[in-house]
Amino acid sequence: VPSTGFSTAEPDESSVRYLRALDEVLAEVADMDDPTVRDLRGRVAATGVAATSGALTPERAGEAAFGVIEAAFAFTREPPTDPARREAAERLLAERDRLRAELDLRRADPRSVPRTGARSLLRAALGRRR
Amino acid sequence: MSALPDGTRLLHIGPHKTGTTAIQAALHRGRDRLETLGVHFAAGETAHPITAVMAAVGQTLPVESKDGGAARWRALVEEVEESTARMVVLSSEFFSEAPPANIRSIVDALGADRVHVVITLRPVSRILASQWQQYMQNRPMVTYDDALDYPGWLRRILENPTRRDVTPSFWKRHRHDELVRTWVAAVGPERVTVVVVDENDRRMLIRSFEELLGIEEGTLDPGDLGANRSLTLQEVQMLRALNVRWLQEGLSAADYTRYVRFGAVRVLQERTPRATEEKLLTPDWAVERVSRIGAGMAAVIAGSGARVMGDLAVLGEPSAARDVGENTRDVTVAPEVLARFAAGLIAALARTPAAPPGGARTPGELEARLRREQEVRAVEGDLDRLRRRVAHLNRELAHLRTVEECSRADLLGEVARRVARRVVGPLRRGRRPRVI
Repeated sequence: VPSTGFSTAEPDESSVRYLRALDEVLAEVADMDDPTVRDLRGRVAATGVAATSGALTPERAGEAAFGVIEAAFAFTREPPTDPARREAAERLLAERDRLRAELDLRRADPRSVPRTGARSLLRAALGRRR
Repeated sequence: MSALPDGTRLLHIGPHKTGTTAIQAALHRGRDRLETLGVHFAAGETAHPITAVMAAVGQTLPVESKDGGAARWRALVEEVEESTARMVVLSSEFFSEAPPANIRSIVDALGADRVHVVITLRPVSRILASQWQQYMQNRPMVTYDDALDYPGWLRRILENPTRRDVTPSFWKRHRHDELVRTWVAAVGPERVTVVVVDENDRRMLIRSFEELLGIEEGTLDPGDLGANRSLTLQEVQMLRALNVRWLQEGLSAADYTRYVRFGAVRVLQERTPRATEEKLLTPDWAVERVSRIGAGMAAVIAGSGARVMGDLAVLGEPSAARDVGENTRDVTVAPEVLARFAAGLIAALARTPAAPPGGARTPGELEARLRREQEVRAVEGDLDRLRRRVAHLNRELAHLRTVEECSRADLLGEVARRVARRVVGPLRRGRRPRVI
């Protein structure tokens, strides 16, 4: 766990400059209406005061930058607002991915019906009892 | 120095840190104008077809699959073959890393009788700092003993240049005499031109290419020559600290490449550092040592038979070095520098699409999780649609059986459906049906 966790640290000049610049650059390089941008920005800003108060050595700056990566991991572990709905979505997506993979495999199989010509299908049918 | 003959396929192989980005950007920016002058810049839709060339030299970018890169290289070769322009240009510093077997196949693919190799060179003393900070941003997986700092890295590569146990690509790229000799052996000296960049004339490199391509001076726009600037001391030290943490956490090279190298670092480089901001300095001893190596390389290149544009002597000239000295030990990072880097990371992370990655590429753990999270959030609001999609895939799968798995009735049914399609379809369109 990095040292950028929630803290009651008071903002000082360094952290104020950091948070102001973060918003300025984000407005320039990202879509501020994007919910993911807003979410990550919120997480990073919440830990930003503790992470950037005082002199920023390269080690502290690298640690604070890594805090963004941790925020992204946290974003993917966010507890759902509607657990049943989320569980259903995850289950259906997993089922969809499984079916897609299965379809890809079957499509690539030269013995599959779509990859067999009509004459060969007819011959196979006629050579079969049932 | 005259233009290369019509029919030439100009192959610019770098190496790295010799103005390649400036050349590629100028060629890309001017591609329409170049076409009207009979010059085709082969790079797909990009300024630098990096994954294609990496595949050609036997490497893979961590964000790309091996097959994906090979397909891009084939497409690039096709683009060259299909061009009717009087001259075709390819440019990538990654060609300089090709082992001899790959050089042979690259030259054969592009037409051995038409290829002309252009090698751009600068004094290695001007390359050292830039190359080290590039290694820092390429990937954190470089197998350093203890995450060597710049002076430590210099000692390792300069005290015994033949050892090549740290960043082995450095001397592969920058043993410029070996590079020239290898390509001369592959295509012949008459098909190799060495351009020694004049550090006091920043347009000289672009002008040399205009001359080789037989186009008027001023045709190519060099653009902002500082766009691909090196990182400053505080920037690279912050990045190095992040890399150490990245390695400690065991995160992947693929995630690093996507989010740090091509995300946050690019945004960081868009900032214009103040003139007083401390750069990475190269110590005197390293400049002297590398200049001696450079002088020896210049002598070999002079005797290689390759034609030379510019002054080879500067390769061994210690006075050609810039930003020489010892860096301060107490470095602090400005909050604005960290903020720009963090914002670049956030922007890159948020750009992760919801869809699974295409091709055979394996995403890093963070990318895979973000893609899935974005997808789950996107479908949560419309589960019925996803249910219909799953049902559709199930039906499709049920029809996708092998012949062996089908009963006689199934097979006859399928034949009947195909016959019906062939008869009914054309009849509906008023055409004669085709039967089996």
